[in-house]
Amino acid sequence: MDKILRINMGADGGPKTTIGSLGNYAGLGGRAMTSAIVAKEVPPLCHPLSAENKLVIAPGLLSGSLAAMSGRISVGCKSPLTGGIKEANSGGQGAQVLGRLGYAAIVLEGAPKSETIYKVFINKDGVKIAADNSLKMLGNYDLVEKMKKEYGDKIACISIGPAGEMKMSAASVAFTDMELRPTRHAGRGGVGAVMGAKGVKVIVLDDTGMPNREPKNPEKFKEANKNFVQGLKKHPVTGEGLPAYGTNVLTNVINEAGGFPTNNFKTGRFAGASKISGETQAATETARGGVVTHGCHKGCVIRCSGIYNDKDGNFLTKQPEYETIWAHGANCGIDDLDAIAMMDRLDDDYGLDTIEMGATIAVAMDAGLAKFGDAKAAINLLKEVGKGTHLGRILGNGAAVTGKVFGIERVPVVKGQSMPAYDPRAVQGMGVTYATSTMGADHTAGYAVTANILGVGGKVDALKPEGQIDLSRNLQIATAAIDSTGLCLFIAFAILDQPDTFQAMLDLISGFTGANMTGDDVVALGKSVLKNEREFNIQAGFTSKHDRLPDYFKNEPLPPHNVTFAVKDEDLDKVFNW
Amino acid sequence: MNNAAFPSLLLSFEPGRIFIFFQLLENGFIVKEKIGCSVKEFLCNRMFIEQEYLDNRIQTIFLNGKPVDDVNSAIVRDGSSISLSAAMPGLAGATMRRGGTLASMRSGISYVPAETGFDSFEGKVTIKFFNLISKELGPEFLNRGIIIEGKTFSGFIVTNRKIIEAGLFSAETDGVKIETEKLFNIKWEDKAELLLKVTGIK
Repeated sequence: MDKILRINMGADGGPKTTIGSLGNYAGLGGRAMTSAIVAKEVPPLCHPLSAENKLVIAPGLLSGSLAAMSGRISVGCKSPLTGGIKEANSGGQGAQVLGRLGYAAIVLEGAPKSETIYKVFINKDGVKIAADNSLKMLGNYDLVEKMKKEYGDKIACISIGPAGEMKMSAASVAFTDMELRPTRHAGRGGVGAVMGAKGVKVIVLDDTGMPNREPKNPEKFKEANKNFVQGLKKHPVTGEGLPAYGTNVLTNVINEAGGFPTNNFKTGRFAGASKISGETQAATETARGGVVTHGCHKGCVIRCSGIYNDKDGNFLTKQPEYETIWAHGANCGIDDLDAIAMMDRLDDDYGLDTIEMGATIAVAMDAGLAKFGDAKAAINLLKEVGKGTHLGRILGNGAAVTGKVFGIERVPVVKGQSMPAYDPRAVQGMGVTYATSTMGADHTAGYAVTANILGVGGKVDALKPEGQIDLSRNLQIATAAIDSTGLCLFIAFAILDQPDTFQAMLDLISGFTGANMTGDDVVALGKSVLKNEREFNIQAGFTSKHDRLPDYFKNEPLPPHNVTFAVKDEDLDKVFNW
Repeated sequence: MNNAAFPSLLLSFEPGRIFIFFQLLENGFIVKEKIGCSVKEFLCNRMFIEQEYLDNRIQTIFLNGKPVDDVNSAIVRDGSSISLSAAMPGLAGATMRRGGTLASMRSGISYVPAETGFDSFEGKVTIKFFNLISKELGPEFLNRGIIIEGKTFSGFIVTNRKIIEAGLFSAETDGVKIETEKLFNIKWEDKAELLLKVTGIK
């Protein structure tokens, strides 16, 4: 990965490609790469859909190598949803294939001068761009089928559905999985709308003839990779819980804790939770001949995904994630797994963020557009988005816009982005991250290893309330670093509990890059990413007043524990003091 | 446990399909036992869960929906609900772990031991098994027998009729063998509670 592909979509005479060296971006990958390019090259005050914005797609540092779990890819830009910097990341095959093709980043720049849409084909021989208006308004599934016919089945696709073409703020960028289905998405922040604004419908990658990326120190790399895999397999979360039930294993637990937002964040417990839990989902998949344990990309050893078949045993969608089950389920009062799976399928096909859409439909339900619990009505609202009706255009721009249009106060967003599946009143530390993340309300922003392993800013006393501020800060730093490696964040559980697995991860990176990476280097990397992102947001007009949860979280007790969000504003302002 | 007072249902079932009954454990089953003791005492000495399993495998425990950090000071009372889970993913999952380094992130809902005294007498406790705990302890508890509400069981067999029919070898109510069809015709919802035993037979 020693080159960057830039495609100027607004060049005279049509799109123009330039392949250049890494320059000042050498050594960066994933989120570190996307945020560095956006922070340096995108004017913070530009319109997110304008020619000045750039869409950056960057595999992680280790992607394309044989490092286990290294298949994450980052998509960055100025977000149409939040107005700030955005990094959304995804699994699927894209990271590995792009890494093997040698590209550290693809940067889409400028804006097309007409309504024409383009497809981009990249293989070992170079890059070809062609106008193809026959692809207009195709869903991701039909689009990928068409690409398969044209380029064969050894490809990986990066694409947008109709939502991206309509430049909706909830639009995602899709990545195909191992079965060449568009089931993996860089979902958050409307990155699909920016790809739509660049006029690019699909990027087709073919790495035929390209070898895996070679480590600088093969012996060290091989040994570290072996230890890393062993560590992941022996840990109960990464070796047993996630493979057996997927991320939806959380539903019962978070519901029991009273932190499972229900009916648009009105209560923390959903009566129908056990009908949509990971345990029930796994049993349903097994009974229908689906798959419970499945990776989203080659080289995944956790395999937290699966395949969800319909009642007749036919493929409907990949195993919906916990966040999707919550967003389209409990948050809308829906306890029908098949209906939720159908909405997951529609989201993937239209190219939409499931979290944003579930939150938006719940707001629409509060506005009286449908009743809580009415699965059929929820599916119909989603179809409005896919069709691009006037109502669909409103909903497809997210919960904040929908709340404004219909005069709803209860809109669970920070910086315009919907909160995920944990009520911040019950898990207040999560609320600190929602409030202060550079990304808007985002659960993955504080997902990684603890301060007590990394030793950021000294040991944290977890029993003191202020520990939440310190923990959130350190988690955000560590997450930013891991997002840059291309490693899946789910490795966090094994490296949280097992120092030898954490060391194996450091050795893996060191063995690959040839540099001797330490815990301090991980911290420095995470801090540098957040620094870039914070500075961009400040220049885009964000202040500490944007690092707040909506007022009702402070004033309205959440049943069953009747708790409110009690972290003080002045403490939130300390998160980025380091 | 004195279970003689409940109508009983014994199902002999194909072991490979017993997982379908785990959702009953997820929803919660009832235990009538001597209470007024610690969670640890209750689980190890009343429920006969091995202490090593409790210490190493059961990473998350809720008492009345509140995450428990210390199983010795959390007291089980009449009407209590105890939920057991293995280690969970996600930041939120990690915060729920007992005594974990992220515990402060959910301090607002954590279980705080009461300073008042407690009585020791027989009481009713609801137990829930989640995820790997259900998979690992489920077959043994189903074999021992669990007390569940009739309306819960009624909904369960309607929803899962197909797979129950596929895995069922025989059924007995109160010691009398019944035909499969009758199992689905009994108005279980009319019974307040029943004792369900499921035995795996190859």
